[in-house]
Amino acid sequence: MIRMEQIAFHYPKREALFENLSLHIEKGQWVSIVGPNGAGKSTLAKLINGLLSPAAGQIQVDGLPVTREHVDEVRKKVGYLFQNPDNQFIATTVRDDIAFGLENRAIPREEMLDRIQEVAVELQIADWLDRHPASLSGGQKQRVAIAGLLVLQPDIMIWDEATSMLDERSKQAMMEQLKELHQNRNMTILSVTHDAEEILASERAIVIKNGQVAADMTPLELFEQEELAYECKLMPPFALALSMAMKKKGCRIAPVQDERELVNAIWPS
Amino acid sequence: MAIVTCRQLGYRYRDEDSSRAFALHGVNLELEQGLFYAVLGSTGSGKSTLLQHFNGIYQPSEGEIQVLDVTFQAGQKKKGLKELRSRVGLVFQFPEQQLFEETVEKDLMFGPIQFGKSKEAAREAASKALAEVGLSRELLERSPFELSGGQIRKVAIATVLASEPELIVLDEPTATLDPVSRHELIELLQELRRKEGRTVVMVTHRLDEVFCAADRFVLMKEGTITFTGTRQELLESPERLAEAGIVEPQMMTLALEASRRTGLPVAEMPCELDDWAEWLMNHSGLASGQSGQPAHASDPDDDNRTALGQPAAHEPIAEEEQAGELRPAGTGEEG
Ligand SMILES: Nc1ncnc2c1ncn2[C@@H]1O[C@H](COP(=O)(O)OP(=O)(O)OP(=O)(O)O)[C@@H](O)[C@H]1O
Ligand SMILES: [Mg+2]
Repeated sequence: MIRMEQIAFHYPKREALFENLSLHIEKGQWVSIVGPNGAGKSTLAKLINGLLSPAAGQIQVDGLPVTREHVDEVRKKVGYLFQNPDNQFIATTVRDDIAFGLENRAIPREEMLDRIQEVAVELQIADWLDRHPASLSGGQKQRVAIAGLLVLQPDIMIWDEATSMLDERSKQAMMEQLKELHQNRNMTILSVTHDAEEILASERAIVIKNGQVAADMTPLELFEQEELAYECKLMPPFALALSMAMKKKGCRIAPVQDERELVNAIWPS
Repeated sequence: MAIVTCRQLGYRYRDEDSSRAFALHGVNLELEQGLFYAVLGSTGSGKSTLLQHFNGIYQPSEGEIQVLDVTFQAGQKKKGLKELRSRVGLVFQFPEQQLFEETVEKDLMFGPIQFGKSKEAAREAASKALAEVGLSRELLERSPFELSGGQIRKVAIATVLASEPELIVLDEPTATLDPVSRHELIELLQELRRKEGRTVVMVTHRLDEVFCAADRFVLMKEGTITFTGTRQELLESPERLAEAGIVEPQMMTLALEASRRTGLPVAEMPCELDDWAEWLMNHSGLASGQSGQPAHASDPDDDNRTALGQPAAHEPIAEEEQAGELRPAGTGEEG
C-alpha cells in the first residue's frame, strides 16, 4: 500500500535527515510511527503525502508514484492531519471548513450536508458547527480537524500527533474510532504518536531515529526491550512497566496491557 | 503567602454572543508560593482561559484576580504590565504563538533583554535555558520555524525559563514531547520549585504524568473549579475525577485496589516504580515466584522515598507546613 524505497531527504541547507530509508506498509495495517522529538517523523509523513519531495528514492501509495504528476490523486486517497490543528482551518465556520474538502471533490450539496451532519454527530461536534474555528479550544479544534478528514472517507489516514491535544476521554473515544475504522473499513492507519496506550493499541511500531528505522516490531516487543525503548525516548505505561519491574525482581508475572490485567495478575480471584 | 488569588473570577469571550455561557465563572482560587500545581479538566473547560489571566492577557469580565502585587478587576482595563510579565512567565498551548524572531537565540534573548538584562547576560540566560530543556546549542542559529513540533515546544518553554520568572505557568507543555522529554521536563519543574522556591502551574491532560510530582491538583469543569487539593485528598475522593471527566491514573486505580485487598491506607503506598514492585511483592501472594530469591523488604536506610500521602518534595521548603492549605479565597472580604 505504501512503499518507500531508499529515500534520501534533507531540508534546504541542512544536513541529510534520511540517507537511505525504506519502508513498506500493507493495506489495512495500523502502524505507529514513534521516536524522539526531531527524529523526522513528521517529515516522513509529509513525504508520503507529497508535501515534501525526496532528493532520491521512490515513494508509492497504492501503486501510484508520489510525484508532482500524481500528487492530487494520491491526496484523494490519503487523509493527512497536521500536528498543529491551527494550520488547517480555512473557513469562518466549522461547517464550511468541513464542507471545503467535499466541495473540492464536487460532491452534490445534499449528500454533502448529510455527510457533514453524520460525521458531526459521530465526533460530537454538532454543537459547534456554526462557530468560528478560532473560537474553539485546542482539543475542540483537533476534533473538528479529524471530522474534516473523516468526512472525505480516505483509504489511508496519516495522523501526526492528532491526539496530543485531546483530553484523555476524547483520546480514548478517538482510539475507539480508530479501532473501528481499522477493523470495519480496513483503513490503513499511520499514526505519529508519543502516546503509549495508542502505540499499544496499534499492530506495528516503527521507530525513526538518527535517520534510520531503529526498530520495527510489535508495540509490546518494543516496550519489553527496555533499553531500546528508552533510547528511542519511549516509556511504557505504568501498569506494563510495573509488571516488567516485578518480573525482573523474580516475580512470575506476564507483561500486562493495563491496570485491570495487573490487578488480576496480582490478586487472582 | 498567596501568589495568585481569584475571587468570583469570570470571563466571557467577546466574539461569543451573550447567550453563550461564560468561559470562566465564579472562580475562587488561591495559589501558594513555592508549590507545583497541576490543572486538569476536559477540553474546553476553561484551563487556558484561566491561565491567561495570570499575566493579564485576559482581564476579568466578572470579579477579580490578584497576581503578586497587581489586582485586575472587572471593568477596569490595566496597562503597563511589563513588570508583572517579567515575574510571571506563560508558555502557551500553541508554542508557535510565542516565537517570532529570526533565530532561536534571538527569541530566547528577547525576554531577558526586554526585562533589563545586558546582551551578554541575556545570551548566557538563553543558552542556559536551552540546555535546561535538553536541546543542543546547534539550534541557536536556526529559525524557530525550521524545527520539529517537539523542538518548537521546548524552545517556547526555554524562552520563558530564560527570564527566570517567579511564577511559571505552562499550558499543556508536554503535549508534543516524547515521553522521556516529558518526564525530564517535569523533573526540571520540580527542581525549580524545590531549589529555588518558584511556583509552577501546569495544565495537562494526563494526570498520570504529574500524579507523583505535583503538590496540589486543581480540577475544572465547564468554566468552574470543582476541586482543589492534595494527592491524598484526591485519593480519598476519586469520584471528583470522574465528575470532571478525567481519567484516573493507572497508579491511582492500583493504589485504591491494593488498599481494598490489603486493608492498608493508600497514603502509605509508594510513588516510584521500583518501590511499587517491591511493595506489591511484599503485600501480595505473588512474592518471589520460582527464582528462589526472597523479595527484600524496603531498605531501611533509604528514607529518600516518597509515599502517596506525602508531598512531592524530598527536601521540604521552610513554609511547607503553613503553605499546606489550599482554600478557596474568601468572597466576603474586601480585595
Ligand atoms: N522546515 C524545516 N526546515 C529545516 N529543518 C526542519 C524543518 N522542519 C523540520 N526540520 C528539522 O528536521 C528534523 C526532523 O523534523 P521532524 O519535524 O520531521 O521531526 P519529528 O520526528 O516529527 O519531531 P517531533 O516529535 O518533535 O514532532 C529536525 O531536526 C527539525 O529541526
Ligand atoms: Mg512531528
